[in-house]
Amino acid sequence: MDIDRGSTSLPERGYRLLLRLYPRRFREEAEPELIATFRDGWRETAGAGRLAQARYLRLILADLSRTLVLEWTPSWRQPPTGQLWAGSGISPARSNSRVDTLWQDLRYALRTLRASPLATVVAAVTIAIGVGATTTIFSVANALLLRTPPGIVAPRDLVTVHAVSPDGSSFHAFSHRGFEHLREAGGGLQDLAAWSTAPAVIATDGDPELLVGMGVSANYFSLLGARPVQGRLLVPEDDAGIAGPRVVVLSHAAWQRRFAGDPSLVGQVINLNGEPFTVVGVAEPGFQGHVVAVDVAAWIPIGVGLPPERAPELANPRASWIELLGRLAPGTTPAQAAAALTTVQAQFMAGVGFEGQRGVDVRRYAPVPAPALLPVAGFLGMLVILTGLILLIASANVANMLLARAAGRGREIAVRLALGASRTRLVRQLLTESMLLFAFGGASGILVAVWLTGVLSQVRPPIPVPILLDFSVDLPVLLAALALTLLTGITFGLAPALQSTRPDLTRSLKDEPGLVRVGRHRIRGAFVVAQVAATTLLLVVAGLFIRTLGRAASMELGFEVAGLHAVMSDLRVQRYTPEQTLAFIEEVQRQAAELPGVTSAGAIDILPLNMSNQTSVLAIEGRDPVEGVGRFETDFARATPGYLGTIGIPIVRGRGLAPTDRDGGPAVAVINEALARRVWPGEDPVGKLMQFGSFTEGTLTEVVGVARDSKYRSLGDRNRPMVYLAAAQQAPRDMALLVRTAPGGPDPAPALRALVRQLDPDLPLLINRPYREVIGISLLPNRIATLVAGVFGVTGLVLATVGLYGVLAFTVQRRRREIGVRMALGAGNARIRRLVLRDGMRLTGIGLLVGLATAALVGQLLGGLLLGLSPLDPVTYLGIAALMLTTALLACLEPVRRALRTTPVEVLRHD
Amino acid sequence: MTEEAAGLPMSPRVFAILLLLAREPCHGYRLMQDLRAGIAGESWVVGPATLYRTLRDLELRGWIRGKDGQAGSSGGPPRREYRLTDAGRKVASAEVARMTRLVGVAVRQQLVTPG
Repeated sequence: MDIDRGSTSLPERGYRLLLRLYPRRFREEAEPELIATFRDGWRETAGAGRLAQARYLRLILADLSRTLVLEWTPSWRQPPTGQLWAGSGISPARSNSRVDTLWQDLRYALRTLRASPLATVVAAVTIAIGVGATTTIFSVANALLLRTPPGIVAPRDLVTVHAVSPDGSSFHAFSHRGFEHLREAGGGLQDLAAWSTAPAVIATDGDPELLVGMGVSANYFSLLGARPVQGRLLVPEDDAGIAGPRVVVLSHAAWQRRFAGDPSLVGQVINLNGEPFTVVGVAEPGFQGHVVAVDVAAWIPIGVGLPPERAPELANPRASWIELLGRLAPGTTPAQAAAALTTVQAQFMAGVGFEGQRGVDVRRYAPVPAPALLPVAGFLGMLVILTGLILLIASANVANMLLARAAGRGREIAVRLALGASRTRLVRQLLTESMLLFAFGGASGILVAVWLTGVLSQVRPPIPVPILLDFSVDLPVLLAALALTLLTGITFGLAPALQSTRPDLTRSLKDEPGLVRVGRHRIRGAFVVAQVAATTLLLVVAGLFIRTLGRAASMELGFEVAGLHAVMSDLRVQRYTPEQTLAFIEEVQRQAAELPGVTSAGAIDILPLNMSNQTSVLAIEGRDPVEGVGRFETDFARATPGYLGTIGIPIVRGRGLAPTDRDGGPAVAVINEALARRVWPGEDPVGKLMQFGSFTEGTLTEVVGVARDSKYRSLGDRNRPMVYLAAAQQAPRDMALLVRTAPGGPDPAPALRALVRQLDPDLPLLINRPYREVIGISLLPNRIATLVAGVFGVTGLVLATVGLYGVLAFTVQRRRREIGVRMALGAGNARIRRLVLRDGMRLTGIGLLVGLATAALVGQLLGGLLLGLSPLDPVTYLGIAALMLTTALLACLEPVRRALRTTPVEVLRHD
Repeated sequence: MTEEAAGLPMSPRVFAILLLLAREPCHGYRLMQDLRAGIAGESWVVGPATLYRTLRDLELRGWIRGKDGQAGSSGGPPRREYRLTDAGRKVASAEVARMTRLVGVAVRQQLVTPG
């Protein structure tokens, strides 16, 4: 057979091209036939004029698009042989007609949606807001809680291993010797690796840069299944304690950014924390270790990274600073491993003479560290609920719109029912329409989420740690978003479809609105009630958070924030010994106090309200060693004599820390009022002695003064015990400086920077800014929640107002006859106004009550985030109720006006 | 075999195709034309791919059989010619019988007068 290419017409060539869109199987069997048919048809129309040709091409295109859908949709595809449906009850003719129906429905739905473009766009945008917000929060939750960081093989077998107190309440790290002991024993684990984060300053090629480093045992990479992209990862020979080889594995990102992806870097020596390290390899792209959100740039053998004065810690079985990550042996459960390791641990502790009991906790690995898991999950859960509410409000609005539209088509629907269309068929058609709407809205919402998550991934909170966040929308999130959209589409599409096809033929056929009350349109009412309730809930939550932030601004911290300036560095990175640290900080403090405009300066190892703290126990000799009797747990900090005065915490009894409290002298401490009340109720604590640290090893410390209570860990603190130890007696590793400036004085930042640079040019300054900004971080969750709840609350308010307005306007329209009759019978304007208002206010009232009741329950869950504000704060509840009622009244205005415009004559003429 | 298992009732379009093929075997484009021209006032506008799929279904059921014919007089690919099988003929007459029974009922109920 020879096909004469020359005689192939242009449309035929186009048709051949389009045929390639079919699945290959179909194309192979049908192509010759289709081309022959097309050619015959084209040749015949050729003589019939351009119009006939255009018509023919339109037929071909419609045919093509329809069959393309059918051929590419597996479930609709015909079974391959004729035997399959014999006796199955499903005939091809029937399945064909089912597909035809769907096709018809889709086309019909498209046409209907196109007929009212504005309403369609508004509805789609509304859905897009809901789906976009929900998908975004899903993505964040997915990135933080569910998704395994890249480069990790078989994460399901990974476990985190902690030492745990006998009551299971507190988790602890392990010592290096403890780790080695556990690893050798195995205990149901295939492998066990150690890790510990540490700052890493890279000072090769350019300015010193602080990055996150991680000390790891050499098997860390093999345990995770990571691979190098250049050179090698760590090998067992690298595990040689503090004297081991100084080697470093860089992350792909750090290699690209800092060293421009130089392939010759492997084998070269770089300056890390002021020491030479040989780069042995680069990890594969994307690999960032096992902890989510932390941008780890360099891995070094765990022993090598320690500063010299900490060398003994490697051998000290009491120095617990190592975190463990294990991989379960096949067929072992975490519980079995925990039991086995607990036995091993007990033998080890007995062997080294360690008093006290500690079990071993083994749990499945999660990218978020175990202590943070619950708060993070709780916070995200709250955000998911808030976004879910906005989706609910949006969907209810769309459902009401569909209902109104269906009501407008009541006559058409009634006619079709009367002509014998089955109700199922009509419901399916209406459902197709709403599903299409939700598909448009959902798709746009997912696009919104893709954009939003991109923006969010770029956000860097003001904390001095490089973080890496990737909230991008991945397949599971996409599927969840699709499922959500489908579900809401069906839920909120089915109700209007069922409602509007209720066989109530005679009334609709006569096009007689009748005396319709809202009660007859209960679904519409229910949607409005749900909207008002959800909006109320959102607004109450937003209100509570706004009130909380307001209180935080005016909250009694126990010290005066205005005029305080903070300077933080990381002296550990520069390998300062405790003596050097103390000497350095005392010198900085002395010189800073003399700067112009500075009235005083002081230093503390952990600043208050900095999302960080340290706790210890203290014991009182002669008392029962029972918690709360002779043994107390307390937060503590090491401070210089100038600290309490500078931050402005007054001494209420005794004296503060003095320059004379130095090494060699008796150990002293200032405690706060809360601790004094707890340990020595009704007594003067000044001059009392306590064992600080532990029973056997604690230092006998004298209480020399009592300081007023102040917030330390968080703004939610109430009566938290606190001990201030004299830094000069406590060998601090690192300290932060606070200076107080006179009002109206110059910004001390430049002078402080110059001062630190002059004392140590290599020291990177992490923070040099007003203290108010530093503690702002502790309000970050509140600010996020306020923002989300606020934005959604206002959006919800607008949507609910529109929804209420729509329902009332609709009801007034349907009741025009009744209103006209009432007017004719002498009802005054006031009466008519009451009639409409009563409907609106009833719906609002019910919704408001439901919303407030739900808010009262939800508020209990917010507890900690509210910083002591009552979850039932009357100001918020009353304010939101007033806001909702006012808005509802406004939404009623126009419908009322419309009702009053009704004239009896007009209505009666209508009949 | 029950009517349903036999694929009855069939869609009007399928019935029309069987009717057309009962007259004489023909190829796809011709069927398209004849369907458009209509039978007894009913007509169907179908595109080539839609028609092809229907014919494929009927062939799979064994109601019609396609045979690759000779290349057309004007060159180009060969046309497949379809003819009614015995099974197809039986199904078509079963459908006619079904409709006749219905008409009988309609006549008895004086919905129509026999014509």
